[in-house]
Amino acid sequence: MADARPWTGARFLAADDERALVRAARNDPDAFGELCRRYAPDLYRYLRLRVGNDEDAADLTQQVFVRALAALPRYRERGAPFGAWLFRIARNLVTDAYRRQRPAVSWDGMAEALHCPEADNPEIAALRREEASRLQTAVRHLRDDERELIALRFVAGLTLAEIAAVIGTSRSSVDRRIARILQSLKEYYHDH
Amino acid sequence: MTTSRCLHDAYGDLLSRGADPSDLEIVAALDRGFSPARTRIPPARVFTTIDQVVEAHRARLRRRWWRPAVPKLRQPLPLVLAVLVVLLLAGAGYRAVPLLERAFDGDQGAHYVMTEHLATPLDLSQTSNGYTLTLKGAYADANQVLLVLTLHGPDTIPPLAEFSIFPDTRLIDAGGAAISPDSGGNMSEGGVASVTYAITSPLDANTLHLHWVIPHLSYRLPADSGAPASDAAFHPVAGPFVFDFAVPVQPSRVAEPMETVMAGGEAVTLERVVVSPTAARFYLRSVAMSVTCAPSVDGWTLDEWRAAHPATDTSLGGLTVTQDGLAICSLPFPLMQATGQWTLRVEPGAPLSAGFQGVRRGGPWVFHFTLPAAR
Repeated sequence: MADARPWTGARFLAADDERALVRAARNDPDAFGELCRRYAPDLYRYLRLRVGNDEDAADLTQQVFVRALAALPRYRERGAPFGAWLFRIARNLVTDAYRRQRPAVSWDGMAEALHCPEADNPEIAALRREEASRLQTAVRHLRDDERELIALRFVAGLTLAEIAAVIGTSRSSVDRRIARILQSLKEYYHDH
Repeated sequence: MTTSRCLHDAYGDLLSRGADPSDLEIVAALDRGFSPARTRIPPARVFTTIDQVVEAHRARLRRRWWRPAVPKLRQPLPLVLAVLVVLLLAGAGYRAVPLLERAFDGDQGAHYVMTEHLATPLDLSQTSNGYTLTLKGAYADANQVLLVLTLHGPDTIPPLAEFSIFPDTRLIDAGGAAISPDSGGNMSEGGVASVTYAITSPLDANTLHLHWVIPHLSYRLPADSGAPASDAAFHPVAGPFVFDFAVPVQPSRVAEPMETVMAGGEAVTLERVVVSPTAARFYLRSVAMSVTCAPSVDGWTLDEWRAAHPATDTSLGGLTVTQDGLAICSLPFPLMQATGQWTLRVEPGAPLSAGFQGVRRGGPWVFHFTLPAAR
């Protein structure tokens, strides 16, 4: 599989551009700030989907950057890509924040986040509503870890390699899991 | 994002295996379904926080010329902060104890080590390119390793003003684990400098066998001293300087209260306390913000200590967060003799920069515990 760079959000980083910023970030606050600004929207969207409300999502997004600054000296370019590193911080923050309330953060609200885009044509609008409803049903059928992969790919816009770095597994494992998830979604989507 | 071509452009990693229309259909449905979630705009306060973090980063870089603001933990070795040490060479040579005592006036923990003669004399010298680095002595306890050193240049150059050990030094124990730098040391009128390394994992050994590698260093001459502390003002010396030595580990007092306190809707756990002759460290779990730690023992407070030791550089302590989320509050005070019931008050700390409002919430968290005798 090719490792396509997603188009989502305001983040579209040329690889060289990002590498230069990452290399400079440790000693150049402005470079660090630029990276944070680029990733902020996708981090916020991921966290918003994860925690289900704007306030907590904003709080956690802020904390990601505070924690990233503290951890910046330990960041190694040869490890996870910078974006994946930020998402890993975000993921750990959510786990820490919710550990006291429940043993694991679920993705229960993820299906509800699926909406049909507006359409002027009533027929298309009806089709889209139907599509969103079937998709919600299909997504509810997924396990939490599967929903997270979908969120990282379709909402946060991470590449499969970045997702692998975020969740701490191999790229090929992510490839296989996403393929299985899509297959499962297809079956539910068409059967219900 | 409705056409097949657009989908292939955006999801080539998912769709390149074939042109199965059902693959396209499900990917397109997911893409459309999540488009509202994907276009949410973060509130302005997120970007305000980024600006404040950038300023905090800038402030940290300004401070790092004399000590790391965020020491590295559990990493092979820091790229963070150049360890800056001022050396004013004594004309007639090195006189051990009196000079050492003066060297650590601002660091009460290190001063205690020197006045109590707890450091192990070593006098190991390494010469590279005409520059001789001498490891005068070493000290270790459950909180840190303290190394005392001098640097002499060739006779052809004037006495050195200060030197910097680059941040890729490596201090490795017998098990191959790296010990991370904690502080750049103190200035001394006697040409003596110190470097401390933080120990943050439980230590069972009675003696540490250490391997210290300094790949290179740099120095400034007195004539450069008035110039800004930029890289350009330093003269490089290629190494490496390598030392192998053993140092006994002084007894420390260690407790593992594992006490969780809920305050302001936030729970924090005090997992471990290590009080050694040079410092006190408090290991806190689930701290999601900057905090300050204030211990007291049977009514005695840190403020009283500060009043009694006004020269103490309290900024040597600080908060460090490890990769696994453990926050370590360090205080550079010799509190070994304090007996009685301990209280630790943890409060949301000072803003990272002026106007910072980002993540302060919860607290104060107050813990009570006792410490066993030193072992």
